Amino acid sequence: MAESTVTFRVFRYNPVTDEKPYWALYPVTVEPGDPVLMGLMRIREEQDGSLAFRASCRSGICGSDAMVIAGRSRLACKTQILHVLNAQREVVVEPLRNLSYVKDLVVDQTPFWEKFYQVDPWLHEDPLSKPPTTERLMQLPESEFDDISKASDCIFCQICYSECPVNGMDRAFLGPQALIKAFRFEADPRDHGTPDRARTLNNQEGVWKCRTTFNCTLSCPKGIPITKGIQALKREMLTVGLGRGGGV
Amino acid sequence: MRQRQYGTTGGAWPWLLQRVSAVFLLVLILLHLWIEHFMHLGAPITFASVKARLVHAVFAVIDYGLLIVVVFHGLNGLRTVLLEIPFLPHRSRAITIGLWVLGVVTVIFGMDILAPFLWGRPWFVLK
Repeated sequence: MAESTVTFRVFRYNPVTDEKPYWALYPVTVEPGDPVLMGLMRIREEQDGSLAFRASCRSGICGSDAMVIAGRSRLACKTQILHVLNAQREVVVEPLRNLSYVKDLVVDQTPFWEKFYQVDPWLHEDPLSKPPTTERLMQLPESEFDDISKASDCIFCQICYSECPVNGMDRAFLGPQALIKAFRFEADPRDHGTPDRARTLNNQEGVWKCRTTFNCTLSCPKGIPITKGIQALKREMLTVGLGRGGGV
Repeated sequence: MRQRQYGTTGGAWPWLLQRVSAVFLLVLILLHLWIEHFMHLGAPITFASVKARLVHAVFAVIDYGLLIVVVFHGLNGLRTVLLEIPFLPHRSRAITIGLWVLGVVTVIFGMDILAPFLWGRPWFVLK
């Protein structure tokens, strides 16, 4: 394999020692096929042990290593270095957008998780049904599962949240991840949580704030049709909102 | 676990009506363009010819309908844009009321402009 040297231009910030963020340059020897995460690990092991970033499985499953690479939010483990070089043979690496940076490439995920929990992301039982007295299976027909299987693939990487321009403009907007998670349960025939969820979804900062820019769908590393799911939620919330006299 | 509740309720009606008004707008604009520019191609547009057309209820409904739909669609879109501004969602009610007032005044003003063709003189605005 042909080795070559590229430069990693990395966003650095240490809240203890730095007044403001700065760019650090690291030369890294790479081979074709090497992912950005490998380059970052090499920097941390061989050049600067203080570089902070999140990573875990290295296989595009855990969603930990999302960051802005060459101007777009991506998983560092799924992005090949040689595919994102700029004209100066640099790889530009920054923290995710729309979330405050804590240290280097690590962001504060609190708003993301707050919004996720706000949509009650679990199956709500029918409040009129009696509690089961014996063990039971809550099975889903295969045809019904097809509707929600893609939405269930979410790995919480926060890339859609970072790429959403509405999130960037309005920090109160629920964001694509919370909405697609709400869709996953709203589309589930076993779920009875619509009245509870509607308080959050049928809201000016809920589904109605989505401007269908499709950034979330384009950027999702799992290929989830997020915008399509949000549009389905809008149609559902339309009946809920109008039925309940949703305000103008 | 329920976390902090963001924003205010509602949003279904503006979203739906923006789409419904868009459909009406498309139909009415095409009708308006056909009536104004192609129905009597080449004929000069005079006060008398417009008056003769507007006495027919269908044409009056198209023109007044277009006026109302244009104003609603435009101001409802403007409301959406204004509520995008980060510090303005808290003013949602004031913005909505203000735009309704602006819309009603605009429609009355528009109707007053068409009034001479139907009743021989403006109602009250253009004396």
